[in-house]
Amino acid sequence: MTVLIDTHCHLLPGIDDGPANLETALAMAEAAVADGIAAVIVTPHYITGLYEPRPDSIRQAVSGLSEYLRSQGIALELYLGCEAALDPALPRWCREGAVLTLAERGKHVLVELPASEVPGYTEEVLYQLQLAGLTPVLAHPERNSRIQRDPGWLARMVERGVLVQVTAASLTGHFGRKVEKLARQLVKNGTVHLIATDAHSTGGRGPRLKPALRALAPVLTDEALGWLFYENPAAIVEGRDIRPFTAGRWLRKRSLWARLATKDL
Amino acid sequence: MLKIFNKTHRRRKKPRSQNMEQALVTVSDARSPMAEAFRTTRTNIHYASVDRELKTLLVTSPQPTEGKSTTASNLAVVMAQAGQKTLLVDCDFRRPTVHHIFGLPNTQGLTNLIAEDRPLEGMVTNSVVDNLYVLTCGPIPPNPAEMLASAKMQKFLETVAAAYDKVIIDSPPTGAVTDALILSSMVDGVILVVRAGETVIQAAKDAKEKLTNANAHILGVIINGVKEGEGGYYYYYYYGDDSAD
Repeated sequence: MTVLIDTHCHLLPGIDDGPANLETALAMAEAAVADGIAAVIVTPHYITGLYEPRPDSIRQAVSGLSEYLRSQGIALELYLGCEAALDPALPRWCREGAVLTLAERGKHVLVELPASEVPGYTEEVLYQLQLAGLTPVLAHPERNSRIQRDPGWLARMVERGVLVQVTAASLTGHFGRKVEKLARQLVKNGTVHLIATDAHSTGGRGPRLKPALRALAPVLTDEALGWLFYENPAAIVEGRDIRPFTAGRWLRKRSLWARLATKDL
Repeated sequence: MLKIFNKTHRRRKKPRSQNMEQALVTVSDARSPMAEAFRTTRTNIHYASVDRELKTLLVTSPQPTEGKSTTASNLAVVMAQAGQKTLLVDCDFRRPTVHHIFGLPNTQGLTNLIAEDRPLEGMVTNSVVDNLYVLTCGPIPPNPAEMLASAKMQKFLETVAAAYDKVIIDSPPTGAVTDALILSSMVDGVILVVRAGETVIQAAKDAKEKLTNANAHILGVIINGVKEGEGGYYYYYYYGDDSAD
C-alpha cells in the first residue's frame, strides 16, 4: 500500500497511439519511476477497425518491454490489460478472451466511451458486463462532453456498481478548466474510485500521479487519498473488489480562509 | 445577401475542393472526434440490426449540401474497417460526388449495370480501405426516377445484398425529387443527414414525413456541423429500432 500503481497507461511501443518507439517507451518508464510509480497496467486501445491488438501480441510486447526495462536498470513492474472502446460485443469479447481484463484477473474491464456522447446502448453493455461477473471501470468520464452536461448520469452508474477512473492530468488542468472543475467535483463527491495517468507519451499527460495527488492533498483527508491512490489500484492489480470508503472523513476540514486562499470552496 | 453568397460559393466550390483527404476523415485522421463519431454510428447501426437485419442502408437528406456523400462514404469506410465486406453505391443520379471523394473516374458505373444489364464484376472498384468496394454513378441518365423505380434496380439491390455484408447507398435529397423516396422503400434502413444551423426545420420534418409515407424504416438522424461542446462535431440521435412503426 505504499507504492503507486498506474492502472491506465499506453506504454507499449507501436501498438496503438502510445509511444512510437522503444526510446519513448523507455523515457515514459523512467518518468513513471521518477514519479514514484512502481507498477503499471499497460492498457493499449481496443477499438474495432482501428486498433485490435491480440492478447498474445500484447503479452509478447509486455514481456519484451519488461526485459528491456530490466536491462536498463528500471524497476517498473508491468501488468497486462487493455482499454476497450464501448461496444455491444464487449461482454462476448471478454468471455472469449479477445479483450484483456485489467491485470488479467478476470475481474475489472477498462471501458472507454466516445469523446462526445453516451451511446444508447451504453447502460445495456455495462449491465451485460456485470451479468458476466465483470466490473466495468469507466475511463476518463470527465472528458466526455455529454457527461460534462449531465454528471448525474455518472452518479447513477456508480450506484449500480460501475467504477470510475479519472485521468490524473484532468485534475491539474491539462484538459482545460471545465474538465478540471468536473474532475475535482467528482472526486469531492466520492464518485471516483481510481486516478490513473492515461499517458501516451512523456508530455503534458505524462506518466505521473504525484501532481494529481498534490492537487487533491489540500481537499481530501489522508485516509481518502490513501484509498484513492494506493488501496484501490492495489485491489485492481490483485483482482479484488474495491471496498467502499469507510475510514472516516472524506473531505479535509478546512477553514474558510484556507478555502478562499486556494479558490476552492 | 451574405448568406446567399456563401451558399452559392460553397456549392460551386464543393466538387473541386472535396478530395479524399478532406472528406474521408475516417482514413486521414482516424483518431479525430469526427472519425470516432462515425465508428459510434456504425456500432449503433450494428446494435439496431440485432432484431432486424440491416444490410442495405440509404443515406439521404432534406436539402442539398448537408453532407450526405461525405457521411455515406465515411460510414462505408468504418464498416469496412470493422471487417465487413462493404459496397458504397452512388445512386445520386442528379449530382453524383462519390467518385470525387474517392478520386475515381465516373465514365462507367451503376447506370451501365441497370441500362445495359452488365455484370457487377469489373464495375466495382476496390478502394483505399480493405473490404471497401465502390460503385460510382456512371453516365447520368435523362430519366433518373424511372431508372431507380425499375425492376432491374430492385434486382440489382437484391444481388448486392447477397454479395456484400453491407451496402451503403448515397442518394439525392428528398426535397426536390422523388429518387430517395423510391429507393427508401427498397432498402432495409434509411439514415437522414441534416446540418446544424442550416437545415430548415420544416424541411427536415417534411423529409421525415415523406419517408414515413413511403414506408421507409428510418434508423436515425445524423446532425453534421455541431460545434464541439454542444455534443461533438457529429452527433447521432438514435430513434430506437421500430419505435416509429
